[in-house]
Amino acid sequence: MQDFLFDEATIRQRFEDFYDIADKFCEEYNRDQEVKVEVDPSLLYLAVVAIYDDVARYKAYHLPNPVKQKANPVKRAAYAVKWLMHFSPLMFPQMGHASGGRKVEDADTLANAMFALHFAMMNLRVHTGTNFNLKTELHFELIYDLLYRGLTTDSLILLFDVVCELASTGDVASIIE
Amino acid sequence: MSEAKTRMTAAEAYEAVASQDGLLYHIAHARKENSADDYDGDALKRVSAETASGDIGRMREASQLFRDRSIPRG
Repeated sequence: MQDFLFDEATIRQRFEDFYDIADKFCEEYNRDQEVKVEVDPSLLYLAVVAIYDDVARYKAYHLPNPVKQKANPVKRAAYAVKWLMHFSPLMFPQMGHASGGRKVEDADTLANAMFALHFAMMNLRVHTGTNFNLKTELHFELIYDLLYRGLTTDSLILLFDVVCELASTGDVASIIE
Repeated sequence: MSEAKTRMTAAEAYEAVASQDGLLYHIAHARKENSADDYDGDALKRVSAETASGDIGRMREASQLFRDRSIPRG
């Protein structure tokens, strides 16, 4: 199994890309907000390592030739949602601390759910070559389920595959008949 | 982050959390020919920059539905 894990240099590159994306996400999130969200590098590191260990395990189990075959970005998107929700690397340092304010403009859990879905959609957009958007109602359903239900990564892979198919073809007939 | 004086670069952040004598250090032993996954970090960063603001706006609208649909506790 260890032969299939991602090497140190790759983990480092993926972490640095992830950090830049998370940092820019925070900049956008903080626009016109009094309470500022930040990235915790330790929690992000734990999430990145766990995401790519899961991708490597998926490859080792499901692919006939995991060394030669690549995993597609749908797996990265699903495992990213799982581990970003688990480690919650976006934080509001001011909240809950003696020195902090008592603002409750937003919450860590919602910010992390939003970042997790943004990261997933971004991977699916690159994968499909279309900058599609999800409807607000589907965003609500997904955020609700991430907070209160038990969405497994297997179910996320299935859902994201369906979204990719619809985004790529623009045709519901590619899914149902 | 907006406070530039305290912001770490991505490389500095990695050095800070992934040192070999640190608790979080991760050891991996990949085969050199491992093709890993289909990944384009520059494309991800570009698409994120293009879509983050819109995503956040739509998800804030979605999170408003939590307030609209929550059941008041009498």
